[in-house]
Amino acid sequence: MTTNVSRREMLKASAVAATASAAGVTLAGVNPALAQDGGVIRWDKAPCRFCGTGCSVLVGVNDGRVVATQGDPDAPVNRGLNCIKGYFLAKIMYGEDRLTKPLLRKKDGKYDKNGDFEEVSWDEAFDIMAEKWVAARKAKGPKGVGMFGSGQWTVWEGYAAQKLIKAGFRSNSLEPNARHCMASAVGAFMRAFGIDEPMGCYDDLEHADVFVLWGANMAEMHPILWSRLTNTRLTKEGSEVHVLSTFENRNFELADNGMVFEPQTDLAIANYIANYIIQNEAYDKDFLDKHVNFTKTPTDIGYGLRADDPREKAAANRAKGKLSKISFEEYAKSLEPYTLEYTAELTKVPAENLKKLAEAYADPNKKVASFWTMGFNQHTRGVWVNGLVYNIHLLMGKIAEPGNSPFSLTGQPSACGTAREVGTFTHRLPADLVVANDKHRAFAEKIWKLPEGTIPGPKSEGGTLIHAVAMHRALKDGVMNCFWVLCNNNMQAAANMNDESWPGWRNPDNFITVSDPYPTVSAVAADLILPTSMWTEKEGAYGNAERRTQFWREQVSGPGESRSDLWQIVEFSKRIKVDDVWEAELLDKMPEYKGKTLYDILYANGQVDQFPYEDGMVTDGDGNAYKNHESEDFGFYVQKGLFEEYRRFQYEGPKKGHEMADYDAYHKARGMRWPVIDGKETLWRFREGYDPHVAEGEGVKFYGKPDGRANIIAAPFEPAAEPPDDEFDLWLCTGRVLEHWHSGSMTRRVPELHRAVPDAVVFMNPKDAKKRKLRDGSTCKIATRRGEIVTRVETRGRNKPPQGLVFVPWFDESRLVNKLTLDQTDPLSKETDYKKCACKVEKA
Amino acid sequence: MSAHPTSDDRPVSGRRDAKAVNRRRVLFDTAKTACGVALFGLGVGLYARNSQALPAEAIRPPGALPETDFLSACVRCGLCVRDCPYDILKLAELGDGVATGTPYFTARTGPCEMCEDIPCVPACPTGALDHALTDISKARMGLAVVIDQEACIAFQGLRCEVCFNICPVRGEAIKLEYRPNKRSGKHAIFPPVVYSDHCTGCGLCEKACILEEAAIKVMPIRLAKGEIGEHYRLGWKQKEDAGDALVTPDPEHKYNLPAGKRYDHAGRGLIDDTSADSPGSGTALDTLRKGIREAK
Amino acid sequence: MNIAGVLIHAYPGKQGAVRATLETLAGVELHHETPDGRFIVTVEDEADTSCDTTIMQLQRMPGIAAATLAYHNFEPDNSTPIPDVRNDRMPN
Repeated sequence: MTTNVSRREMLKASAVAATASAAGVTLAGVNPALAQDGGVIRWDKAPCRFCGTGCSVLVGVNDGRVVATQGDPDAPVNRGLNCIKGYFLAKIMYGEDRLTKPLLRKKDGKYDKNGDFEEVSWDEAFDIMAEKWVAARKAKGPKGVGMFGSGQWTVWEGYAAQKLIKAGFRSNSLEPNARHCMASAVGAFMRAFGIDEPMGCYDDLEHADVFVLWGANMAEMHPILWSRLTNTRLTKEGSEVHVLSTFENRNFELADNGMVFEPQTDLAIANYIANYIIQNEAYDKDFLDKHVNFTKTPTDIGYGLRADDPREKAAANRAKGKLSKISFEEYAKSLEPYTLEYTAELTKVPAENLKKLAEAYADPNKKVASFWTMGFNQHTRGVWVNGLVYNIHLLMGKIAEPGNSPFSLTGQPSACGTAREVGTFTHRLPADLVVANDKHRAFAEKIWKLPEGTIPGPKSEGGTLIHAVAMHRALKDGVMNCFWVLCNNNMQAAANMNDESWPGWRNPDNFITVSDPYPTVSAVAADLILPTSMWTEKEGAYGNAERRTQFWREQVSGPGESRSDLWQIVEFSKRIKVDDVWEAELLDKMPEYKGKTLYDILYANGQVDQFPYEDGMVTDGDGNAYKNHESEDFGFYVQKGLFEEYRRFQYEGPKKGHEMADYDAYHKARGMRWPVIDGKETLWRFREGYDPHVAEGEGVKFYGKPDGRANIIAAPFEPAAEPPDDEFDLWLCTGRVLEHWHSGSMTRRVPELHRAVPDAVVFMNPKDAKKRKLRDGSTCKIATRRGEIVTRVETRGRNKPPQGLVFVPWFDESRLVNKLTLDQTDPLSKETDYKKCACKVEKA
Repeated sequence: MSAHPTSDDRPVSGRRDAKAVNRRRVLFDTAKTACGVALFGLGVGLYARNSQALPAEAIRPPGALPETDFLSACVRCGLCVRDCPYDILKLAELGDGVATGTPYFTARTGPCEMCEDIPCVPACPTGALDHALTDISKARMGLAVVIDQEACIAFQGLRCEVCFNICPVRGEAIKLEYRPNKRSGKHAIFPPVVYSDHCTGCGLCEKACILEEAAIKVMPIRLAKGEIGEHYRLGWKQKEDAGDALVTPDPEHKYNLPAGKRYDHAGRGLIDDTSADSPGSGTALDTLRKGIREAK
Repeated sequence: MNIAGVLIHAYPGKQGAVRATLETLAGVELHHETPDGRFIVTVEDEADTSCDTTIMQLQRMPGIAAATLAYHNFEPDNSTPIPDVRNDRMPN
């Protein structure tokens, strides 16, 4: 309220000054120029909180409110530009229905799963939550509790969560929504290179001659990168753009070679190109001899469905992924079936287009950058297909140098910085370490000052790795009873809502907590809602898709009693006594921890709390001081303490190549690309001269692997889990639009964006529509084996599907497309495939 | 600022719009006060002139005859308004600035949704809405104009393109151009450009424009269109229309050139096949035949 | 939220009466007065009267020659298209 009153006074002063100046009256004590501008706007930098591009914006604050933003003209990624979502950043925090108080379902003054939401204090909220979590941990062991976080978490939020769940509750059940988003990319990086994240950077957009987009609608989903790619296409002679998709999207407007392929057959296209390169002896023999191993992956691996599904029972090597070495000749032979004729027939892409693409890759004088996102990652053979493109680049030696770049883009602002680098997955630990490796667990325990055996190995009792999709199954089956969802909207986002998500969350045995700035579909399905301070309402750090880590300072306070996810995680740890969640034998190894809270052990551990905090110490280059609510509350500089402890994983850990600069350096820079050694960032990895980890004379070294060699991995085409049949006769593909971010919980609250794209329509081929007696604008019903939704037909919109496929965006909470989708995953990466299931469309 | 008589009472729906009107009313009243007594005189004159000029924001339904013919043919029956499934048509009331009782819509608040069967047209009993219009894409209610290129964020290089994306005559009435962004040096600019051959004037773009005040607006065609002088033709268009050059093409040109150079008469001029700066010259197989990594 | 800055001219001889009236009006705040009969006031929304109604009222008020709006600030309350949380309702 005080904010509103003072703002009112300020506006009044402006009104008086303006009126006086209009009347030619001079007033004493009023500075018209100052009052007219509404005082001085303080500008500071922050990364945009939407996609993985990582544009920097300048945030304008006046009187405790973000009143304006602008693209940061000095940021190398975007040079002052933004997309339309970035244009409206200033408005996303001010939706009318921001959550400002904890809300708990209650009946007769007590918590009741079937009660109505009532406002409660933070104390009451955390009391009931702690009671439920301790009970579930005791009754069901490590599997009884789980947390579902986000690629939109700040780096330290992910790190604090990692400690709370894996070390505090001693459970492996921590997952990010990034599991739905780029787990397949991670799997492929680890298998091919032994280290995560792209070797190149966005400068490849200027250095490449040929761009190939494999299942990445960059025109809409990475709008600023698209404008860089377009600029290169316009200004660089000989440059060309190849686009592959299962429907015609906005990329095709610029494409020199646009290809619409039958879903799932991208596997065959990639193998055809590799075959072409080998048949024409275009490959780089020297590079292969020095830097590459040939391997193959087990086939017929199922679709990540529940074990009793007939498709899983039929799979010969369900979820198997162990690579075995093969020779170059065996690899070449595995590609022989993928002739031009066979591939053209299978994929429905004209032969001349396929050939043109293969020629571009095979031309030794053309630099090729391949980009992909959800089309590849949300794929039941996502790890395979990511790898098949690495195969092509490795065959040609077109990798790890300017312009020659296989580039996996990410969807979220910190899918890389938080989910991947901090490792907030069930199977990971910070800096590319994994739970399954005894030495890695021991190293993490040493850094965290924990007794040996604290972090449960996957084979220990209850140490099971439960991935995102399995979490909803575990909730439905009553294996997991407490679930905390932060910074995402998984009820709307997870596949097969009717059969898995909703019954799981509403299972009477379960207690679901949702932390969010807004009342989302997930909040509706929760038992306890915690109000979250978002984006620049807290101090933060994100890492984008080109390994760029960007920091920002807290610009404004969150509304009401809202608190950041970091505060919530750390504060909640104060409620949990270690004796309640650790077995006695473990505690006996460090008796000094007895009787302490998880807060004492994890955060006030002499490391995280080593940097003192006092009000006014966070300043920018102009000397403006910024608040830091978390540090104020906990009495030490929390973010810095967490980050500096996390950095020890990068410098002291068993895996090199993840080094970052110190905390204060990032507050001064518009991001830096890791590894950062001696203050110098790394643009291209694995290449001598560019990467400090490659010694002189080595040329190229894939140092993520013990022998310094990358893997070419043979993998065939295998069909999708649920292709169309007589009854469900269309492919259903889901995705996004430029104007909205993910589930729309922020962008739909910006009236202008809502007006621009108010609801999710079904994009359909006009002939398919006509066959069903539908026309543009008709109301229709889309049904799958799992559910149905009603929406409008769009036959002349931005996406033009071929006959046999429809596309529906998922941002619209009034048309929950995930009631339709199948909870299939890549069996290796466990990432959901949202792009392929069978549906029918009829008149509603 | 002129006191625009229509700004007071646009059709509204929903809370937000109500507030917007509230604001407009305040501004309107300001203007009224500023003009003082003069307003009353103006007001009277305005009503008197209703039947001649249509305010720029008021758009007639699809198929409307030219304004003077329309006004004589329209019997103010309201049947087109009744048959509009989206309720965007409105009968003008006294003070709207439109001849009282005649139908119109306002793009910013309620654009024409371009029904395939155009129900408002057959509903017209007099042909004031021309029954010959059966294909909605042939309607010419007005013409969209990107009226403020300084305010339009797409012209500044931001990735907006909402008008392009919402346009029902997709990719034809509004096209995006591609230009390098000289300021940033590495991005492109995608400005929207309206093509009058295809724009129906439905106004969806004006409604969707995300600016506080739309940068793209539907204007009456008489205001929006320029016209080139009869004495000059655009050569490349004439050639395209004719399907061939209007004057016999030259015989093939030949040049004195050193080895490795070509000269493209109609396009790029001198081409250096040996230059490492143009890796894209020749076909992929040409380069392939040169051997692996030869260029290094 | 509406806040307007309005310049008011009083008829000669009516300055005192106008001042007295302005001081009683809800939502109107008098900030400055010149010897020649001009007033600088701000007008805000009240619970039952909106800012524009008050300005209309000022114009019609006896003793006032003109009330001119010189500044207007309007801030929307960020209306949202999304419904509130409904308890235990399966979203449709």
